[in-house]
Amino acid sequence: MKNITRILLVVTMTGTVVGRAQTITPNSESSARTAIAATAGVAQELPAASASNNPASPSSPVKKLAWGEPVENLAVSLQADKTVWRSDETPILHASLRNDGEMILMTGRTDSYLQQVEVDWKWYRSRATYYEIQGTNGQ
Amino acid sequence: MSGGGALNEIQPGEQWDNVQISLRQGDWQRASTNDLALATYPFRNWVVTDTGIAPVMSLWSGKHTVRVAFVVDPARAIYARPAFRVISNPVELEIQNASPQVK
Repeated sequence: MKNITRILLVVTMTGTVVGRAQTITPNSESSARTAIAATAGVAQELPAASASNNPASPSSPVKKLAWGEPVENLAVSLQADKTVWRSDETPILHASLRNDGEMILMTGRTDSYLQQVEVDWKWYRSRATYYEIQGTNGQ
Repeated sequence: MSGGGALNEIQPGEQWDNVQISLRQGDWQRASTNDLALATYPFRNWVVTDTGIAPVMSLWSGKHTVRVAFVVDPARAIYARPAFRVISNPVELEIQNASPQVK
């Protein structure tokens, strides 16, 4: 199957045209199409992550995910592998993030600094206190 | 407590899965109004001060409702958009007392 090259052109306030090319493999295009077609906030069928996004489980079965309300076309789904935890265990949850918009967005994927958790309607922030930029072509 | 980490870019059409959210005791403190308004997340000014006086999260025995929010910054100045929070669906979990060790 062929790869597809998608070109994004943005016209700035000064009239400058900024271009960006992205090569899409058949797998990632299929995933992107499905994500864009989906309506966030409702449980829905989504394919397992593509191999590039989720190397740990490239052949996972299709999962039904519930999503929160999207903001700027970004939605978050929270999942728990089990619902009952012993008090001497650390509960580990898993989140999915889906960017259905046209903006490149930055947040923390592997670090809790940019995460907040709400437990019983009280919000908590991570106690990690700094970060460094690590992007492919960030500001 | 301090820590470090990295900002990652999520591209248009991209989906991340298996982002781990650990509810480890001591890793989370009550968010202030400034935290929720994102005033303490200076994306372009660097350091946030942790006063260390906010209550720390504890998960007691019983049922709890958990959501997670990600603080997100549009990655390009040309977007002219401020940072924002995006919140997940709620998840129910229950903490049960660990069984006493049999000697």
